[in-house]
Amino acid sequence: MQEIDRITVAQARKGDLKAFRRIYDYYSPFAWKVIFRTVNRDANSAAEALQETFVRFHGALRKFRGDSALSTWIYRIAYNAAITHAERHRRYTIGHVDLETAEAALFTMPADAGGAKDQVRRILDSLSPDDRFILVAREIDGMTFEEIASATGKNEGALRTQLHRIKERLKKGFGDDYQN
Amino acid sequence: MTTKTEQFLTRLAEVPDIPSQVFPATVRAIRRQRTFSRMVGAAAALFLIAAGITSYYQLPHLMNRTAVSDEVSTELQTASDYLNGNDIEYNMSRAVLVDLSDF
Repeated sequence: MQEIDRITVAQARKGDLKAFRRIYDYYSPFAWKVIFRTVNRDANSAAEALQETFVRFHGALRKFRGDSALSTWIYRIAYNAAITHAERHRRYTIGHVDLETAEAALFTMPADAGGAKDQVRRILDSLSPDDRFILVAREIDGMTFEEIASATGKNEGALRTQLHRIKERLKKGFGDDYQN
Repeated sequence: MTTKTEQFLTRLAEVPDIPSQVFPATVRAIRRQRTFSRMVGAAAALFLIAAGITSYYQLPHLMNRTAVSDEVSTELQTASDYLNGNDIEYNMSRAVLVDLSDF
């Protein structure tokens, strides 16, 4: 993705709150999608993770030397915050959906919008938070494997294999002949 | 023809809007963090100042002002000699003199 201008970043580093707001407005929508789907709970839980992402980002902004893209950097922080929140929720959630046992019922996409939303959430629940992050980062936010590797600390080959495995599970679940 | 997986991925992209309170809450959290950091910094500075003042009053030139008197010093020396056994030789020589005078 196209990065925000360096002047804004420099101003934010000096503590300019308006510049920080511009960075937030620019990067939060794409961070929000991946956080919302990785946390896979209500908007408030995802909002907490998004807030944590930008608080951490602000705290670490002085250390940013521009070696990597700002988007990748924010993504890395968002990944950690989202995984932490998702794990925290999973620890206290009783009746976690198991793909292997509830597959047939889960992958029937209902026609109504409300039911579809719930179904998407339940299908995502059958994936690990890490799988959810990779799926959304690649398929929805359109990040490259190199960018995802930088954010997650994994190598590109492992990520390709992981995404292939996720798609195979979805394909199997939906009964589709899904192609990469 | 759209597959169910494609439908699923389309729906995956449909997320609610970012709650409007997130940015104000983020700014509040940053300010809280800053205040906390400043308080910790101030406490550390106070501690260093207090430690500096304490060590200043313990300097050798100031300790001379509160040096012990000669009388106390003599007593302390005597006690030290007793504890270290330095007074034994002196006391034994005195005892020998007493014994000879008896004869």
